Amino acid sequence: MDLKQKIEQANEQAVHCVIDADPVWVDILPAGECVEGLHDRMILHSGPPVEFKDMCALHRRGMVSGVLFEGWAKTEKDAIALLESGQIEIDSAHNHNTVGAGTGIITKSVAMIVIEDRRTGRRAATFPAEGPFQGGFCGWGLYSPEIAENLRYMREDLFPILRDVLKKRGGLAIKPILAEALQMGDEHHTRQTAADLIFDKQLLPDLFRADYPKEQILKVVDYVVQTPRFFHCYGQGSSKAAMLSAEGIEYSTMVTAIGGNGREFGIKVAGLPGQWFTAPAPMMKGRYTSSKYTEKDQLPWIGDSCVVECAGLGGMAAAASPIVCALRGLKLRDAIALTREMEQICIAKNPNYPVPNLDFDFLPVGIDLRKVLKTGVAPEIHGGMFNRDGGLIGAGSARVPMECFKKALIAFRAKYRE
Amino acid sequence: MSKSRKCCSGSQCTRSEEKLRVINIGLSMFYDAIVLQGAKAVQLEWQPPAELEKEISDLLDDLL
Repeated sequence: MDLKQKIEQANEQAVHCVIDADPVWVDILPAGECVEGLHDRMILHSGPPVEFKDMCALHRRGMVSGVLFEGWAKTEKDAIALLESGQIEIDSAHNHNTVGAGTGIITKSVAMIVIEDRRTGRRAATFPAEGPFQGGFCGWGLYSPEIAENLRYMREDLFPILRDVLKKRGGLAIKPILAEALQMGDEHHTRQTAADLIFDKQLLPDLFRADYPKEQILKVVDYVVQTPRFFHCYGQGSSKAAMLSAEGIEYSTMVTAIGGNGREFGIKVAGLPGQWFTAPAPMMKGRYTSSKYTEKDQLPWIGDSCVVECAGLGGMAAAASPIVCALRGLKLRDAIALTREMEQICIAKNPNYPVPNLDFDFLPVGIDLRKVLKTGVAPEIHGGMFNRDGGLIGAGSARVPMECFKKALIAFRAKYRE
Repeated sequence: MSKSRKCCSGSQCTRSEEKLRVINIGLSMFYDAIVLQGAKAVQLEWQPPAELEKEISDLLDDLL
């Protein structure tokens, strides 16, 4: 078998890690118990690895928030000194079985949603939205006594009930929700409107039957129902679990991670495990939440949520969600054209995801770095725009920088020298 | 067979009786303009092939 054939075979295997995945929500656990390699005195962040001294302001603040939340220092000044001393281990979330949405600050005590791919047994963990604080600690890197109290409340008051309900029903299958919501206008990166409703329909009957005082049940219901885009972490967790199965498949050129740290942007590739291929982080085009914002306010891409694009959702699924494309002033036919364009750089189509706007054709899946370079078509990625000072100021899209793929190709050829 | 009629600029022009059928390549605003005038058109998504540096192009030849 020649090199090209080996790559084709490896990519077929890798893309089936996504197509055949069976993601199920199985648990809620403290990050220290479900994120592999997350030690005590360690903080994870989004995007490619970056040292504390080189971080953007949002990540630096997130690191300080992590130290304060875990009680490793009492004041901001002491937290900075501790971080500068190198006594706190810092790593990219994507280098573990998790992803960092937004700033992606993850420490041992935050509670995480655990998704298991029942086909392989691989587990990924993602951080849930923080109710009234939305991005809060993990997404926006913020810390305040109220945010810390909410994290404690989530972990100790809300989640034990959800965990109990989940155990009794034997888990909650995520793939049917992903598939159905794609037919109802979601693309699972910027929009989870339909998925949230389907998820609630699955969960709430069991929640109401749970043997807990009514007041406690209603608090959980309020949290789940009133948190915008609650399902987002499930889409990311399912995608990451599939990518974990694909990571390390020799000869595969499939992209398994895409993310930014506000300065650099990077990709990972199945056949080159453990390596990042980076370029300057791109700016997003889209719509701001207020006319007072301009591009000057916007931070270059931060966050790992593009793991959903790796799994054929988000920008790959633009045709499923013309309303998300309308944020950029695009029309339905533009949304369809975007997904058709993405077909050129993908390994396969996913028969689990037929989309009405494509006349029930299937969505493309599995970004092949070779095809990206050959066609010059960079992956379309959806996401939220972050203010340089923190907080979400809009939503839109960008393209993954071509430089990432060029570097990956050179490394791939160096490793596979046949 | 052709007939004379006023075009959008108000001047006289000649156009075939045969219905106009357009394939628009590139900017979709031209497609919009044609459809707004009642003609049938399809938008072809096309862009020039990527120009690759020789090093990348050579590597790709081995892999794809």
